[in-house]
Amino acid sequence: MAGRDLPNTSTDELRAAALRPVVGAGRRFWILFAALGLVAAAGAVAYAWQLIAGGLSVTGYNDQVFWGSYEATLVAFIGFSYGGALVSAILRLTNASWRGPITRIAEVSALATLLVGALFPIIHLGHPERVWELFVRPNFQSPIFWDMVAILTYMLATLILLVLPLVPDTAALREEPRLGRLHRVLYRVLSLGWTGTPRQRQILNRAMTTVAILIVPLAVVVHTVLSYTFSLTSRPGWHSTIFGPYFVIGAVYSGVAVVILAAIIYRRAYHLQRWIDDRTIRNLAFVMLALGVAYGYATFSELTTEGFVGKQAEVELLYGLLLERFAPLFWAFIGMGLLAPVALIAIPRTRTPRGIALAAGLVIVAMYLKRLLIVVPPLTRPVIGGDAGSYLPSPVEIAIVSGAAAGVVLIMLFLFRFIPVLAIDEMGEIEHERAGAGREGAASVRPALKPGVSTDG
Amino acid sequence: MADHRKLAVTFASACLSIWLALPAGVGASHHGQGVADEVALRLSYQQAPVAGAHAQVVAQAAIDSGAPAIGLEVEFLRQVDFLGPRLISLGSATTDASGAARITLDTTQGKLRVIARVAGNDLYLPAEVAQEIDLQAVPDVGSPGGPATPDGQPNLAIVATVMPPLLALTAFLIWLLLLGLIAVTVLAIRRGRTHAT
Amino acid sequence: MPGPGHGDSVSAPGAAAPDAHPLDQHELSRRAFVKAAALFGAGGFLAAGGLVGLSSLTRVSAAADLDTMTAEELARRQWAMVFDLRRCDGCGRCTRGCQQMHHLPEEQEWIKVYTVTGASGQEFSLPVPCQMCEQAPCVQVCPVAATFKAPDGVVLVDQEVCIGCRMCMAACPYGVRTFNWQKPAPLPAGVAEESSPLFTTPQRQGTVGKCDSCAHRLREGDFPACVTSCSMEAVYVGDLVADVATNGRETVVLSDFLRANDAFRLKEELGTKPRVYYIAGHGQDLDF
Repeated sequence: MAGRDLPNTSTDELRAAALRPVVGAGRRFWILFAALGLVAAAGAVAYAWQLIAGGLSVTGYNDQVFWGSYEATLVAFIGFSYGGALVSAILRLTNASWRGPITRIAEVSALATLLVGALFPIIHLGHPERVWELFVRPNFQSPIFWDMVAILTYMLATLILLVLPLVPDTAALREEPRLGRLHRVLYRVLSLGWTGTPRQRQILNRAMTTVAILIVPLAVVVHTVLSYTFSLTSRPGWHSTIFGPYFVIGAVYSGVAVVILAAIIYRRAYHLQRWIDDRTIRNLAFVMLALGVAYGYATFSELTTEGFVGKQAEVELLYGLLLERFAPLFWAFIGMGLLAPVALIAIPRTRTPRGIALAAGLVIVAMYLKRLLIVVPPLTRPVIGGDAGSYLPSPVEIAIVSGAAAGVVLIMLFLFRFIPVLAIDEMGEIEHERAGAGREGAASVRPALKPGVSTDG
Repeated sequence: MADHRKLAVTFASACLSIWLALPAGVGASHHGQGVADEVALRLSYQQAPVAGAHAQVVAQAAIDSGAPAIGLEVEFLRQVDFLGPRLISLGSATTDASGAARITLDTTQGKLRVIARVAGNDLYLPAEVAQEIDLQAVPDVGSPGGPATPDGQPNLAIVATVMPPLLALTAFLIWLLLLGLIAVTVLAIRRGRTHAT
Repeated sequence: MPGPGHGDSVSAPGAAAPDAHPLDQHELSRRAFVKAAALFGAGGFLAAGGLVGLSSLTRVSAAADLDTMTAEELARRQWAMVFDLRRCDGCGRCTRGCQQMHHLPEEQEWIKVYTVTGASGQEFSLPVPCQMCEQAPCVQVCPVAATFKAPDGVVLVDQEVCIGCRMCMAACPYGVRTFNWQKPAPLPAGVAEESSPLFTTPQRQGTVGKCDSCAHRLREGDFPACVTSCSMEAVYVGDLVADVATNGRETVVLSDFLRANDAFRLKEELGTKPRVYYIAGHGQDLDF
């Protein structure tokens, strides 16, 4: 037994806590589920309406502002999925031992936002039924083709990062009496006959590390290529060299915010404070703070460069953003997305889980707003002459985007009805490494962490 | 005869001769009074003697007696077939003392159909002639350098042709890697459950 | 009871040697199954892809039915246009003539006439059709190659292929592309439907439309609608290979005409190499 008291890995309690969302669904859960289901259903109906009845004429799009909320949502939601890449991959590769309690939530939120976000490249098409053409007659020079390739590859990697650690977790829970039959059968399948042998552990670790290493450049590529749909055009406001890194930083920033919010909500709802402790939340908050500062720096750099030289188009756009037409939205973004979160986290008094949750929520809303500010204002500026364009999202667009947001939460709620919310095995592994690192020379006997694992696969 | 009678005859003869001569004199300046001459036009051309110089087209105007028609304005046109038969103005020139009108062509090689036209006036009837001209390019001896390189695009074109397949190959390999990793891991975990090490 | 952990060998009492696990043969058949499934899946995918690819090829050649010339024949002409702004008075007849020819709705303009104020304060009219760029950004970014450059230099859209992503509209620096948001109005009686990229009518909902230089007319030896509609004879159509241009009445040597009148192109600095030229002016050359 470890000489040090490791309350986090008291296995029975840990497993019980991890299974709380699976076994315990109170009235509040079902009310929330039903409400979100209604919103998501409304979104689905709205999309059906777009498909069948009016085509894209049901949106607020026009020949001048031909991209709007759908494209902003696409970028935003895929950006929200970057929290998974950060926590599961980067924190893993850097051996940040505090990541344990939140990896599962990070991975699930990443998958949920990615699955829903990846619908929007299809939703915004005039002929979605022709998507197969991208596979059969692609133009390799087009950023949109590479968008698709990158997103699909990234989706596979995210899925792997979620499923692989589930193998030992479900193995430990195979015979859990509190679980229903469906769950136990599911766990049997998922656990692949895991028995915790060194060989298996070695295989799993290698696979996890490989995918973690792969997913970092993949994540960079995905949002960079997404930015290319804007920056590889000649439009003022889009044709900027900073867009690649700008989008990636923004994505990780908003992704961490999603992880923080999800972690705090689940922590509160299922009383997981013992594992998702204040220290974990604060560490995540500091990561978000650093990214917020980086994003603010990039924004400042972008606007200063545009404004200083005085090219007419860029100056008009800058005025529109800072002082005129889009100023309310822009300053709302600055306040909610940069100033408030940084202040909330930097000031020790507000650096509480509540304050951090508020900061994360503000970041999420503000970053969605920012993506709208990237897509729409440059399009309102006419390319040759004529009047400035205008755009207002239509009820169908609002319904679809709200439905998508509800869908993300629904997917998370749904998944956590089946899989444990804490990465039991991974947390144990981390503790074991920490304990083992404190020893000298003597072979460390790994504490028995898996009672109930049978040998008959 | 009496003196007064000699005077009258002299006077009458003078009037008569003036009356007869005047129309003839006037008629002489009209040269056939009311009938304009026909003009025969002939086109010929001279190739450009050296590289860089231009070909010349000459329209020779003569009347049917062979005398040159001087001071005629000759309009030169080129006939092309572009969305129907069309005429392009090449310019105009006036015939000199030898009856020749010259223009210089901008085209240095190729086949052209040239038309020379003379508008009619009191002296000459309108006339027109057409001629196929085949200009040979003069070989350029001792020109500096080879053919001009197009504005630096080829290098970029090579990148644009090579990169996408490379990227596609990379994506394909990543997929192979990920799928293979899943397969290997799943199989190995299943197999590894009976082995200790 | 603690289960197996590090260092333990998994030999439960009564079990035989580790290799002879009772489930091994199941595992073997499972492996075989997985292999077979993978092969089957790969084969199926390839077959499906092949079928789909073939079907798309036949569709492309069907779309080219209107086009009976070979690429070599087509490449003998490289179409260009010239707008003599000295003559243009901004009347907009070119826009309306084009809309009539292609049965476009009133709000869809394939040639837009802008009123521009110059540096000295002079106002002039600027008609802007598709610039038929040699280095067309729209062609570069279309993910399914629905927009393409024909051998005779005309940039066309195949509305049977277009997925409606509007990336081409983002890339076009001249704003000449329109999107068919609505369902099109029915064609007038007696007008047949056409789906060729050379002449698509009616416009297909959910796809991008733009000036096609009346390519179907050019190839038959006839004029684009804007050229014939122009009451000021300000629009010329030309051929860069034959070096001629005509507005229907006057024919000129194209290169001389452009050089002598200091012709310019729009947004030259973007390197798109448009095939539409402009002769500067402000409606002053009204000599008839």
